[in-house]
Amino acid sequence: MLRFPKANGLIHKMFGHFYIGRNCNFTYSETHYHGENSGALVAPVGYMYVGENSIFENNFNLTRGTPGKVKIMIDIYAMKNSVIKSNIRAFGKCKKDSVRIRDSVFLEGESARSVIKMKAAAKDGGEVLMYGITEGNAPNCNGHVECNEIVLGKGSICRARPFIRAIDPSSSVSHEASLGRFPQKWLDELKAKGLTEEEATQILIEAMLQEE
Amino acid sequence: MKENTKYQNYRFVGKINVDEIQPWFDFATAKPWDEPEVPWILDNKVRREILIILVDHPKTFQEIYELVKFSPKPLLIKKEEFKCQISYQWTKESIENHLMILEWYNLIKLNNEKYELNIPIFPTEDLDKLERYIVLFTENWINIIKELKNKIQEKLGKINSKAPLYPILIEGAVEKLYELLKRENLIPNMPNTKTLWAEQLRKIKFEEWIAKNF
Repeated sequence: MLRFPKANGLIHKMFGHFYIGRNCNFTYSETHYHGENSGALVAPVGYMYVGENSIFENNFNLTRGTPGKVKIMIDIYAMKNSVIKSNIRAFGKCKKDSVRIRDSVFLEGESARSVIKMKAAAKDGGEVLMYGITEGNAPNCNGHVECNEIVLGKGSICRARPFIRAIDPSSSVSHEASLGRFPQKWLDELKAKGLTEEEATQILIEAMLQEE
Repeated sequence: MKENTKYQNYRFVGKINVDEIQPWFDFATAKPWDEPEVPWILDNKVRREILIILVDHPKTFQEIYELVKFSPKPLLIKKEEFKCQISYQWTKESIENHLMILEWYNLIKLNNEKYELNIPIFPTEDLDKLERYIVLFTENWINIIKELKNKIQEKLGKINSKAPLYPILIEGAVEKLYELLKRENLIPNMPNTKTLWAEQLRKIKFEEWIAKNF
């Protein structure tokens, strides 16, 4: 958990290399809190190499407080039979908030598997841009990119750019994305219980962004 | 796997010069939207490594396969203190796929069972040698621009004093220069190699930072 409650002009940079050997189970979780002034710039770059038969889980949460400017670039290289799970959650809350995340998984080993889950919301002029890249370079590898983004209030913007590339003929890569508002049916169900539309939306956002 | 069907000959490769606005024109980049873009190919570190490996001389598949593997190098502690036992070896199938992509986008070609580069890639040492010629080129251009600047502003000011015509003119001149150089065969039409340069630069900067702080 990284806390910068009085962040004002804070710059946080990282250039990291993670080397995970064979038969490992490694979880990397980062939860940030940048205060309420949008005064942080966070720009980490990470290269992760996941060895044979290993499981790597990456969790990044930036849902409390105001994120400020966030630019994250992560490249994950998955070797034979490895499993990658990457979960990213971010919430841009005002005009000064800009969250841009590029999460790439390169399936380099036979039967490597990956799931990238990106969940974000932007309100009152916030901006979120998510790149989910998955590349199947090895036989029988399997990757999936999922992106859900919610836009609240005018001036906010959410963008998703899933790039999926199947280079080996026996690889399988897929993506799904949904951007915009919550389905009306979900809102109606909550409104039927006496909540206003704003309250219902708030509950749905909290449910979407909560840590698993 | 490489495509060996008759459709190989019919695949569409976008034109670089756009005379008319076509449905496939991308307004953001002023190029056909399906123009093969080098940057995405170089997203992958393995493909960048392969290109750097081929800088010295053409290599066979087996040579490339043996070179594309690595062990993490200890940066913050001495080699005697830590012996790394992790080694990442890419499989032959994935190397084949990477080479196929590089070949498809004309970055490398197969010649007598050896892969060679289709684009010039400079190691940093060579780039330093080039630096003084780059300075010579630009200084000459700047002298010409300085001489002409007042004349240009005098003429263009009459057209529209508020519009920033001077920067537009400079941009246009640079584009025209590039076009003329290409026409005269003074520069090859090479793809973007900036990503590779960034890769080397990032490594150098990081090692400098390590040396300074630890």
